[in-house]
Amino acid sequence: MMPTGLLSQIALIILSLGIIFTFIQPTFEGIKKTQDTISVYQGEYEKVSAVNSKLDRVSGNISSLNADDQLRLATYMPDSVDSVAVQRDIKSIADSVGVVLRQVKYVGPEKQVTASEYIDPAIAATMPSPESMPEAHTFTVEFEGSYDQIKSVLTSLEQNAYPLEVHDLRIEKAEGGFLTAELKVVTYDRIVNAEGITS
Amino acid sequence: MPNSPSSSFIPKQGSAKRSRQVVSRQLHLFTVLSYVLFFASLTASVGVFLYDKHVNNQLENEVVNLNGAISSFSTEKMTQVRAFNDRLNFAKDRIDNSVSAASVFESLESATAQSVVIESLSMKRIEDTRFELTAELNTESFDSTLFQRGLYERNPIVETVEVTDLSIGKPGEEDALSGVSFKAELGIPLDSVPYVPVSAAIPLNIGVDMATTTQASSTESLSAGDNQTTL
Repeated sequence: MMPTGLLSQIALIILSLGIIFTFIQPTFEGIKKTQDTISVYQGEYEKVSAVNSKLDRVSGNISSLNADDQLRLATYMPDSVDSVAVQRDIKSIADSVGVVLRQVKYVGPEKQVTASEYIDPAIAATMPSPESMPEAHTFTVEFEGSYDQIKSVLTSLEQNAYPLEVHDLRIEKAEGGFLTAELKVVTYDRIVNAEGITS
Repeated sequence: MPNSPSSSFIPKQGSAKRSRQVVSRQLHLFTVLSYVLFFASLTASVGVFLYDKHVNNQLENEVVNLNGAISSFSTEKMTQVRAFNDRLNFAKDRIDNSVSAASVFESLESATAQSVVIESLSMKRIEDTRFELTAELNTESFDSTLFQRGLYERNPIVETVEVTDLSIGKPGEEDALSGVSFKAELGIPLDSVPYVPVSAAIPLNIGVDMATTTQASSTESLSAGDNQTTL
């Protein structure tokens, strides 16, 4: 038995409007917000999934690299420079070429020069960010030999399994017809912080 | 009694009654509308409630999925990949900027006049941009100095040439007016002397007997094309 009185009809309408404005509309708005949140979560999920799959793919590629290639890369750009081993290698080069090695000394890691420290804008523009630069380690080398021998030393340094860059070179006449050469040789490593991530 | 139409015992519809019926229909329509609205709001409430539940379940699923994806992310693997990437990039950077200092000397040999004596030579690498080479030279005359400067200027690897500290006579010699000494400052871009790796090992002067090298050094001379440089 439905009430048919005017008052009850008005009451029904008021009740309906009350339901609409106090429940349906807020719930709709809540649903809209939830759907927006779902979209955000879906987007983030897709991003994380993409990163995961890419990480798996890249990690697989690295693992599939030839062991010799990996070793060569690790030799060329080691985690840290063994200063004693580098000095031994320089001595070996000097011995193989036949020059008289007067001195080989490890100076230490070189300060990273940033672009802002350069006055010359042309050089500053070409400078990479410090984060994208390996750490440089400097050695000073002094030896005596003929001109050809000095050139051979330079060639041997260039052909080394890891970089031995000549950043400073001074050649002068020495006694007995020989020449003395003073070199600043630079090699590199990755900078690894406590978290194991290159800084 | 005459049966006049107005006195009929059959009740006739008056205008007032008809209008009451119209009101009754309006009330009926209003009633239907109010009920429709009421039931529609109830139905919508149920629907919205259920849909809200569904959407919330969907959100929970997405949260679970995202958490699962995040937890499946391997920090160790990422560290390994980043380390490899850095190593590779650093190595590439150094290889791209590797130069041949020996080729600088070879180029200078062909660009130095026979009459020129190099007293000392220094070379400084300015980051990954250029070599700055400074040589103290002695020549016989100003003409030789000009000729030497022209040779350096025409050399393809030399970008800038500056002749400074020009003086008559060789420093430290008794016959002070026997020639001209000067300092040549050369700017050599690194990309003009790149190191070109060779697949096969280049035979170095390793194994060259000391007699040969000693002889070469004692003569202090080296031949390069038509020119001869003395250091």
